Amino acid sequence: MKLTPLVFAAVLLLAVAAWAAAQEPAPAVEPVVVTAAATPEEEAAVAQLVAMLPTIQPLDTSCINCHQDAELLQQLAEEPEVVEKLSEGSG
Amino acid sequence: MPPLEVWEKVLINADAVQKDVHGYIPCTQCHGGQNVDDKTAAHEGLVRDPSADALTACGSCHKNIAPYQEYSLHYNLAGYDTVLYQRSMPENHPVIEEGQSYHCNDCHATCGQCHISQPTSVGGGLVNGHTFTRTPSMSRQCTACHGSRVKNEYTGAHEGIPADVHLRQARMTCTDCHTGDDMHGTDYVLTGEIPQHRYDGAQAPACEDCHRDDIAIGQGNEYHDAHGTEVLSCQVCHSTTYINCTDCHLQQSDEGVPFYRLEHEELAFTIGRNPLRNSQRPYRYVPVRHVPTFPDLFAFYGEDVLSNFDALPTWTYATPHNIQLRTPQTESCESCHGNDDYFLTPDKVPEEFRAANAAVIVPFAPPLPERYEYRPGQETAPAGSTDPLDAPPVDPLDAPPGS
Ligand code: HEC
Ligand code: HEC
Ligand code: HEC
Ligand code: HEC
Ligand code: HEC
Ligand code: HEC
Ligand code: HEC
Ligand code: HEC
Repeated sequence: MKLTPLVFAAVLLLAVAAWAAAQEPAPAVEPVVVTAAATPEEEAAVAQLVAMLPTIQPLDTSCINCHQDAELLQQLAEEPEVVEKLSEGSG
Repeated sequence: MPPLEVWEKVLINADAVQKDVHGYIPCTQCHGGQNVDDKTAAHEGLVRDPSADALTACGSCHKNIAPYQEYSLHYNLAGYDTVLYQRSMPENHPVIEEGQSYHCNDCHATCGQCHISQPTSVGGGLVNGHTFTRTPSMSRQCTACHGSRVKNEYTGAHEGIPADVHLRQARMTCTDCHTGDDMHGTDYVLTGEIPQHRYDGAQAPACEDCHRDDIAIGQGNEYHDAHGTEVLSCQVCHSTTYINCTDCHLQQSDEGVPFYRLEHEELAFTIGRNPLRNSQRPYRYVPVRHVPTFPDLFAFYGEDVLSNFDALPTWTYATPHNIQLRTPQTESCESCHGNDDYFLTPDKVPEEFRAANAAVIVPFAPPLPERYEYRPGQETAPAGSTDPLDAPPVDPLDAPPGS
């Protein structure tokens, strides 16, 4: 049969694979078990990150609401005292 | 551009601000104050210009720029100290500082005055709804401060004098020639030197940066070929009539409002010897401009403050911003050579200022070198040329020959 060399090769490969699998060492990494509470440094870092969250969006809504409202700004604007231009000549 | 109304100055464009990366920082983190609806309470403890302390306001992110703020002449105004201190004595420096504290406060350029607001000197006000713009506006930021001298020259505001060719022909703005590094003080990283004056260090920019090909010897431009690039600054031929100021007095009104009075302004074009000659500015001759300094500049604040007045010339190295292809002094070789009208000859300097100006006064206009003959492509300084600077020193108080 023409396929004989191929079948032979397949069987050989399987045998080699089985041998290789048998040689594999046991997994080196033990599953992590949390034993201790976070250190103060770690807690501070998390707190800092949480504190930064509001900065993701502009939260100073009062500032923005007023400063984007042209009508309100006109009402609140205080005209500065007109200061006479005293200087003479191009400065 | 009409002046902004008071309310327009503080109107933000909330949509644009929210798209700007800086919109993620709360207003109060930069400006202080409080996030409440009542105006007075909201403004308690407000900082109008957070970028006066750039390290705090911008430094956490702009680590390549903010730490160098204090090295920027725009921020520290060291250029003024440099020239005033040289004209004075150490014991008078406190009086100078006092005068400056009244007259120079609005001139310090913070980051905000180039990237966010109009300068304080024109009353502030947001330029672009509180977005942080990369390229400062020529008309609303740069010339709001450089308003009289540079702006008038560059835009051709003086009657009969055309605008700078770079504006007319190429629509160039200030920042096409002047870079951020030049303004930020960050050149310190490269040079290790802190500039003390606007003409310290390399020319920034140099005309050659863009015109190297135009000035190469041997292109058939007799003017360029005869002088090379080290005898005359480009402006000696390519700039024209500019403003000169004299006799400035700093004063205060009865109410204590500081102001100045400039007695005299004159349009002129004057070539003098180069008072700052060095390897980076090798020219023997440059245009010189009269600056508004005056022995009595600080008279309001103290007596004889500029006690060392003669230490520096009152006609100073100049780079006028009104570049032209052709100018009156280049109509022919002889419109300049031998023509005292364009040179700072002793008769143009009042006697009491001749000592201060000894370094810039030209005894007489240099004649066209005898036996000069144009051979294209070759610099031609014939033997026996009459060079006034090679002549034995002339007492500037003597009348110039032929006058
Ligand atoms: C990253 C810091 C920063 C943040 C955040 C910030 N600003 Fe500013 N703001 C500045 C700087 C810098 C200027 C320019 C001040 C100057 O040049 O005089 C300015 C200018 C202004 C001006 C104009 C002042 C004037 O007279 O020209 C107003 C009004 C203003 N800010 C309001 C706000 C509001 C409202 C918010 C929140 C939406 C805000 N700012 C957020 C830094 C900041
Ligand atoms: C939280 C960090 C942060 C702070 C604080 C900050 N910036 Fe920026 N800034 C950035 C980032 C990020 C960019 C780059 C944005 C980009 O490339 O599109 C930027 C860009 C800029 C630009 C260029 C804008 C453009 O369109 O290219 C200017 C000007 C600028 N900032 C000025 C300032 C000034 C002045 C301050 C202080 C008042 C400041 N920034 C504070 C993060 C910050
Ligand atoms: C708030 C006012 C102000 C603004 C805005 C301003 N300048 Fe200036 N500028 C000054 C002052 C004052 C000096 C002189 C500083 C010194 O000699 O100590 C100066 C100096 C200069 C110098 C010479 C010193 C150097 O650093 O090279 C150049 C060039 C210059 N300005 C260009 C500009 C350009 C371009 C702009 C706009 C992008 C601009 N300025 C915006 C006030 C300002
Ligand atoms: C006298 C005007 C002036 C002042 C003051 C100034 N800048 Fe600039 N800035 C410029 C110019 C000019 C550019 C270059 C613009 C361009 O590339 O089109 C620039 C570019 C920038 C950029 C974007 C390009 C880059 O180099 O990253 C940032 C960010 C910036 N400036 C931040 C600042 C900060 C922060 C300060 C204050 C410490 C400041 N600027 C002060 C004129 C100024
Ligand atoms: C075609 C290029 C070019 C343009 C555009 C330009 N400048 Fe200049 N500027 C120069 C050169 C060259 C110098 C001299 C630099 C040196 O010698 O270090 C200079 C020097 C200066 C100085 C310092 C010397 C002085 O006269 O006080 C200031 C200030 C200045 N420029 C402001 C401006 C302003 C403001 C604008 C825009 C209105 C502007 N420049 C546009 C080329 C230019
Ligand atoms: C940042 C580049 C830049 C710098 C710096 C610069 N120029 Fe130019 N210059 C140009 C450009 C671009 C043009 C327009 C070219 C044109 O119209 O063909 C121009 C045009 C000119 C012209 C007119 C040329 C013509 O054929 O009409 C002259 C003269 C000139 N510049 C001289 C100078 C002098 C002198 C300086 C230094 C004070 C200088 N330039 C600095 C870019 C520059
Ligand atoms: C002795 C006077 C003189 C000096 C110095 C001088 N130029 Fe010229 N330059 C001229 C004249 C005159 C012309 C115009 C010739 C013409 O009409 O064709 C010219 C032409 C030019 C042109 C236009 C060139 C072209 O091919 O159209 C540029 C750009 C230029 N000069 C730049 C400079 C620069 C940069 C410097 C300094 C390194 C400089 N010049 C120094 C007199 C001078
Ligand atoms: C705007 C003024 C000006 C114009 C125009 C001018 N020159 Fe000059 N030239 C000078 C000055 C100033 C010197 C320097 C003399 C000295 O060294 O004392 C000089 C020097 C020279 C020198 C000696 C150069 C050297 O290396 O020492 C020659 C040669 C010369 N000019 C020829 C000419 C010719 C030819 C023309 C016309 C094509 C001309 N000049 C146009 C101002 C001018």
